[in-house]
Amino acid sequence: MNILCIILAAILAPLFIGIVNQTKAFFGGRRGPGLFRLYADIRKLLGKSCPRPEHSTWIFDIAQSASLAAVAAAVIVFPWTGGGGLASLVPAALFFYLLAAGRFFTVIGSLDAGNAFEGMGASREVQFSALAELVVFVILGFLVFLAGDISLSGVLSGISPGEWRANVIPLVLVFLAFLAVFLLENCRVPFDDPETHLELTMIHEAMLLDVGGPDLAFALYGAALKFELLAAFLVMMFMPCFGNGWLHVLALFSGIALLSVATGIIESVMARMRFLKSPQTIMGAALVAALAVLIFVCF
Amino acid sequence: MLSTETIFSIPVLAVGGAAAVHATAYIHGEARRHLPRFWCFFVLTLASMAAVVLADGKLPFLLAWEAMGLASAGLVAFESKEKSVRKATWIYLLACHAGACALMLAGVLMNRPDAAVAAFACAVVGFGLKIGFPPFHAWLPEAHPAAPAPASAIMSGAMIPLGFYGFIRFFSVFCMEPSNAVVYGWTFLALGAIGSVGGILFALPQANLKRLLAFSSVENMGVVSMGLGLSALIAGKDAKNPLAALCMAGALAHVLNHAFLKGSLFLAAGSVLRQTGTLDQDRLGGLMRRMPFTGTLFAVNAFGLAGLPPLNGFLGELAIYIGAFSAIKTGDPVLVAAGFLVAVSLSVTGGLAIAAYAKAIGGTFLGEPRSKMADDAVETPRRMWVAQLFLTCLSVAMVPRTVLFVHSMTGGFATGILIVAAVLGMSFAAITVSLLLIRRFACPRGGEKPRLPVWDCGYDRPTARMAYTAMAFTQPLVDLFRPLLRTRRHVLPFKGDPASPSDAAIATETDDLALGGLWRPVFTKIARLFQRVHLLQNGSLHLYILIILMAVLALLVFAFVS
Repeated sequence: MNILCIILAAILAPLFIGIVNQTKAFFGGRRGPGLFRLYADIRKLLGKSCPRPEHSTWIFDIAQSASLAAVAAAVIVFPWTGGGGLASLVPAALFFYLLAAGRFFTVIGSLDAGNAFEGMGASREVQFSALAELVVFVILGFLVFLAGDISLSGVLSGISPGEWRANVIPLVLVFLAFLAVFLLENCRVPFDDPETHLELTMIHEAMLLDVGGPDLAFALYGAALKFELLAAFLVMMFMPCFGNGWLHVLALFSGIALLSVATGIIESVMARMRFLKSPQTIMGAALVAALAVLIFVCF
Repeated sequence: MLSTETIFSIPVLAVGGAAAVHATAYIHGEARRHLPRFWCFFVLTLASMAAVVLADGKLPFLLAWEAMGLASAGLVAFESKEKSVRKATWIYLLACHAGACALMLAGVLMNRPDAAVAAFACAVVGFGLKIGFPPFHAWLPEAHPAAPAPASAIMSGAMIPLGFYGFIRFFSVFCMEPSNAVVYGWTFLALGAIGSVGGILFALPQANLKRLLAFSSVENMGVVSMGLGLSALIAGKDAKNPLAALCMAGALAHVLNHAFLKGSLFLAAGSVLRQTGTLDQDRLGGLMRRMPFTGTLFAVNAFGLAGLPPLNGFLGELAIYIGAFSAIKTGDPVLVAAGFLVAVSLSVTGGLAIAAYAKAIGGTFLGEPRSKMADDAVETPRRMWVAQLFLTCLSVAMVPRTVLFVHSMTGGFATGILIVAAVLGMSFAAITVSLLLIRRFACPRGGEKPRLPVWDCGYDRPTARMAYTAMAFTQPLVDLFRPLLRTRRHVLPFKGDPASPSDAAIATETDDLALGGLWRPVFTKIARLFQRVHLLQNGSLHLYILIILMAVLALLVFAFVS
């Protein structure tokens, strides 16, 4: 069943990006590109040749494959069916280190192109993600303390309605902090705008300027998987436990769909903030998470 | 299970051997005239390091320790024609002697049961000066860039962790007492947290590749120190808790992992210096195509040292992470606080290490060459990269070895987790390879890889000078931590016609906080104090005779009175 869920997750990933975009189209009064646009894009890109910058090396050649592979490995260990299996042996820290390894390859791949704009994007990426790592690990500490378990499935075992009632303030604070990380890591508004195609104002897209063909398909699919994965993390963190059955899987994927709609709404009602404000916002999220820990531990 | 002696002698032998092979080609041209001097100090350094590990008492240990400092100072001073090298040698010698002094004091105090904490404090200064505990790390970023690369490799990989050996060997008994364990644990935790985050933070803005690596050594020693500190705290609560052994094992495994990875990186930095004549990352770039073996091995090792799966650097840190999160899980207030401190410091360190090593790889080896020196570089003689390859193989071998090592030290605790982590890392590599195969064989045109000019916003002739430099890459992070880093900017504003600016330049410089903010003022004060003593040594023979007479008189009076 776990394997079936992994396959399901792999198939559904681009759909959630479609949901975000359709939500945005709805708010913008447009017809939108359709829910399945990304599938078509990926298919088209896979049929193209694989261009490289003039002087790139093997680093550029493997960068996109490696960064997709890292996300894929994280997808494999994720407890899609809720607890049990491999995920009960995987420490939660490993999960985020896999994502970090994928990011590292994207960054050095973009540096290999020798392009000023890609360097700019890579520079921003490492800055923001270094700060996001801080937020993530404060939240992980909180979850470990709450769940009494260091494994990924233990951390994601969910929060029952009774626990919600007892600790509503710290839980809401942690939710907000992780939401910030979710938007940042997926390069969504207000941290990055996937729609702008102005090189100076992008992070993730800027690192892919010279990537094309199957590599671009890998990068787009990897971004979609990462979106789905972090959304699933956020949903499972706070969802009450539905046992280990299909009910859980159904609840999980509807939760991700809801979060996609929410992301679309956030993107429709907010503008991207100035880059100089982003580090402050992430530091703010770290403080909010630390506050949640203090409230939870002390009261 | 490996004994502590074995663990600390492996880096001496492995990194020492690789460095020796590398050195045969590293020292070339005019400098070959001084080869005997180099080998003399090189062999003495290795021998004294081995003696430190093998010494069977306090006195032989101290003698070997002092010999190690002196012999390696000879290595640092190898290129003593340069003023900066002479300055670095002085700083290093000072650090060695101050450390040895503190250790002698610690050795004396250790014999008195009522002065155990004082002895420990002296040892923190003495061993800390070698390990690079903040603020005693000030010599590392000076001495490492000044020393020849093979010497930096053995000093960073094998010599500085010997301070931890000293602690483990002489202070394990001290640690048994629960009240002492708290002192020991928190000292190590605090110094480790400051050292790891501060070390990697100061590595970020460094333009000089070896200076960056030196600061990264401070960071890695901080990681080891946090593991040992957490282990002591847990053992202080319950000596039988397998978590204590787990943290200890993680820290010791990290000593080995760091030795191989960092040794190889320093050797690569030496190869870059030999082939291009500079270590300034803003003037390098594009070396991956010109020096493919050196560059590839550098990239692999930097990836490992950034603490990312699947390489060995990650597994040691993971063991410490598991220890930290398990400490949070226990619910004991002290352990929760310690666990949070370790987890948060490790995560910040990890995030910043990714930035620092992406910069090191990107600035030095990727993109376009930014100077003629980098453009003209060619691959090193084979034995130089074979030395790197040897250490890299050891790193790869350390992946399963770390799991076995932790298994044997903890008696099976957390073995399953580490095996899953290692296998998952391998599957990450395997998926990468299969995706590459898919791209090549399953995509209809995946084999076509046309070379196209890079996209520069529609401008069709981007030059290497328009690419992002290493400094620009880290500038946002450096700006964020400006109050701490105190990076100085030297800006040369452009002259003449604003439409075609010329001669504009910018350079940044980040000095070590401890050196500039603490040690330089302290030593300036000391020097001023001793200026007064100069009155007694003014060159006048009459004064000297007067002093001798007065001393004799004073002694006579003293003899009669008593």
